[in-house]
Amino acid sequence: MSIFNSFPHLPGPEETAFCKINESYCCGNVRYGSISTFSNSIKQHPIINVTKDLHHHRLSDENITMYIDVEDNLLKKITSVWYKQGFLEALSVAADTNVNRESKVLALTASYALKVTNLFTTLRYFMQPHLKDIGPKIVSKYSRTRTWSSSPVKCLAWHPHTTKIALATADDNVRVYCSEVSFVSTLKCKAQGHVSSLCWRPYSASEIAVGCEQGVIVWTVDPNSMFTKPSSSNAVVLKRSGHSPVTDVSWSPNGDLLVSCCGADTSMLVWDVSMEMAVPLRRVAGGGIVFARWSLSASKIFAATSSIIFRVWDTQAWTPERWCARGCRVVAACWGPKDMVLFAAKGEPIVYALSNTGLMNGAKSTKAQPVLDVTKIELPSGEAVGGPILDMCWDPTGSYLAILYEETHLISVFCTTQLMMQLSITPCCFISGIDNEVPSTMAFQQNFTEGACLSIAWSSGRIQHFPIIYTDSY
Amino acid sequence: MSLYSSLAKSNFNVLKKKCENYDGQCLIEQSLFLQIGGMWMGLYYFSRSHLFGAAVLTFPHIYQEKFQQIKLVISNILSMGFQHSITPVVYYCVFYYIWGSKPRSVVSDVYSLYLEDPPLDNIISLISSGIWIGLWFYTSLFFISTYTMKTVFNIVLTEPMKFPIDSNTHMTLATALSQRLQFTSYLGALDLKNMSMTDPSRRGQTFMLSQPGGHPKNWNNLLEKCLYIINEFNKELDSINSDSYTAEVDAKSQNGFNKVLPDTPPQYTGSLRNMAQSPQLLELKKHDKKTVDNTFATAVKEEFNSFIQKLCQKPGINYFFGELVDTKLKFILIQAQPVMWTCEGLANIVSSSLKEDKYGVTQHDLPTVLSAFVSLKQNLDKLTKPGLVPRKHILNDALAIKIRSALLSSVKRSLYKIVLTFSKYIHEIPLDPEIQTAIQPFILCKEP
Repeated sequence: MSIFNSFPHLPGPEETAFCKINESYCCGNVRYGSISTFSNSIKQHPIINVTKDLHHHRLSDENITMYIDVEDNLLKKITSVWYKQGFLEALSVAADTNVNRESKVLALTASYALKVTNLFTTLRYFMQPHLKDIGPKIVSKYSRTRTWSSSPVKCLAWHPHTTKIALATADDNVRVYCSEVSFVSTLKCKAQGHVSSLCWRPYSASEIAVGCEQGVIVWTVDPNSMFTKPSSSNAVVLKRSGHSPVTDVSWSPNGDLLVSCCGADTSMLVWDVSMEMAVPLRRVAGGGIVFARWSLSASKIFAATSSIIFRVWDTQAWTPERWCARGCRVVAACWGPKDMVLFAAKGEPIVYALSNTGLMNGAKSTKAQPVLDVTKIELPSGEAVGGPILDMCWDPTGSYLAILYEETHLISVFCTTQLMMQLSITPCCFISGIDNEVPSTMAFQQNFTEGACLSIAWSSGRIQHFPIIYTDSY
Repeated sequence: MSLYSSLAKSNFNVLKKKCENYDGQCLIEQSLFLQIGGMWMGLYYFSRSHLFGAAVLTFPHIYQEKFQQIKLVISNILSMGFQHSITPVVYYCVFYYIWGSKPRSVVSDVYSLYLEDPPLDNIISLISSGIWIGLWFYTSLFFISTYTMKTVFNIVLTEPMKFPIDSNTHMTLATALSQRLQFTSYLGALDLKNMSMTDPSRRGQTFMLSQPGGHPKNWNNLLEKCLYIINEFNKELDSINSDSYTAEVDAKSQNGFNKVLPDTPPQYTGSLRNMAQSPQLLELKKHDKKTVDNTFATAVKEEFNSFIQKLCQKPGINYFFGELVDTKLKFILIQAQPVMWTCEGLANIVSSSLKEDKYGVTQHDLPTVLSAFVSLKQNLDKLTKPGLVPRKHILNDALAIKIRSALLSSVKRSLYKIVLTFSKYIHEIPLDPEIQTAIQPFILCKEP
């Protein structure tokens, strides 16, 4: 008996789910229905549809073929490649006899130099195998967004205190939508490529950290300013050699420290942003750090590596506690109240819970408890649900858990209650897209007082706000 | 340098040798080269680190175990040592090339030695002798050892300490904070921040009432010291913002505003406690001073002081002897680290009081805390927007600029923390209208 059988039925054809108020699952017609018939709670929320305003050209790898080849002379070619892609690429251009027809000597020396450097790189990869992938490949491999490289919305983040949402679009711009003003601020600068993660700084109205290929960019977006395109003088780029591409950024809940992780770097950096100083945290074994999550009380950090090892850092003494997942690397994790953490391993349909890690209850012997089994099944209506987990979100009060699956396209929301250190999970509802839409990523709103509000980015570029309202009087 | 060379087994550690061709003693110039090189390096290091560079003790923002920290920096120290020693060696070689013959002739005269080998102040013989490699290596060793010593010193010194809230035997947090301009105040401020974030038991102790009496002694003590630190810093900034003359007037009018200026408890002068001297005695002395205050001598003194001040205002003299405003600002900002910690710590304690403070001891002081933060923020804003101040101070020091923005951001965060925590009740807090308008953007989350 799967937990999915006790979920409310999916809306019929031509219908879609809009919200859940107390126990009633509100659905309406796809074309004519609107959420305002049910609830006014998200009336002020920004209405976002990304594809509509994406008409300028995208500078990505696919449409390079649009441009006509121009024959440059050799030296110019080599220098431009050197400038854009680095020394090694320039060497390979010089060694390539198809390109370099003019000087045989140069080609020969370049090819020998290339052989020597290749020897060194293979040696390096032999020593550190996690460095093998380059840039965007690493990000898309570890990203919790479905088809990160081609999805219109790469990631989204709600502001912790106000109704303000930031999302990174496919062209690597970050757009900030706010409930009070109608215009959209677009953050864009040269260094900002392959955006992997966004995080608003707590206890600040303006600062947002953007994790991208080169490092972390911290933008200061003045909420009173009317500029829709803030200049890059408002951005601070934090980078460090070897720490690229950044796969995750997260602020401490107090807003004083910023942790950045890189899938190709074995250390995670703790930044003091205004002093632009970083302290690396590193321990032997585990490979690159993929992502890190602060606990709600800022006393712990969950850090997942690219191997089966994950660590729970204590933020007072800065010492880690090492854990091993059973099958594969940890793909998603989220903290809830009372320092409980839920996590899921890649390729496994099971959610584990880890509470009060460490000294409190006798350390070593404790194990993570499996709390939820979401094995893939087919619903009576024909849709498939469940399977390996792609991403998880827990709302800030710890009462709703949303799960995104790798293979199936229904988002399932569960109600969670914590009683006497025991977590009980009950079904809440499914959320499905309109006509073949596939969910890319999602996030809970941080300041929604009437319950919880899940924002989902669909593959069509539409952002849906799905409120789950719970009134005490009910 | 000679220590290192004596450790290495070579013939450079003695100044003279037996001549091969003549009868008598000959000079080993390499040894002389190393000896003078050692002096040169010492001088170079001293001048670079003490005369031209300011030594600022930086606290790491997270404190790992000592061993981990050393492990992290050791490779950096090694490479830095080898890199940094290149320039002084090059300088020294140039110096020796130009001036080298003089010390050589002096030494060979004094000890009546002959010179046998080709002289070293010739480029080719200098390079071929290979002595510069030795010098470079020894210099690197010297730099590495000094850097290591400095780093270890820094690591040990910046280790966070725990001060008890209430104790008769140990130094309490409040006394640590009150020792301004001393290192303990740094440690105290850091501890205040750590305590406010991670230590619920000590936080609880802060909110306790004293027995007997039922006064929130711990909280009052702590608050007084924190506000003193913030207000003092604020005053210094204020005196920079306004012109130096009007500053005093401002400070006086400010006194009305910052009513919380603490009456200082009996304080021990000097950095060490003198056990023989009781605080009463000190008070007596102070009392004596006060009686003398109104005499003629002080009037003359004041007159003289104002004359000097006027003299200093004259352009030429002011240029040479006046206090440079920019430098002073830089100096103040570099000392701002404990202020940041105090602000954050105080904000954390106040906001956690909403849930943990059973007796409501902090409620009464919310307006004073808020007003102190707001005025500090306003003064910092004046620094960042030079257009508003008649005389602009251009900070050209990267470190000072960073500290300024760090301070501003930490003050803003502290304000946000308090305002957002108390957002439901913020209108019930009795606040001055000025402060109320100042915190309005914080309530609306509009303050950048």
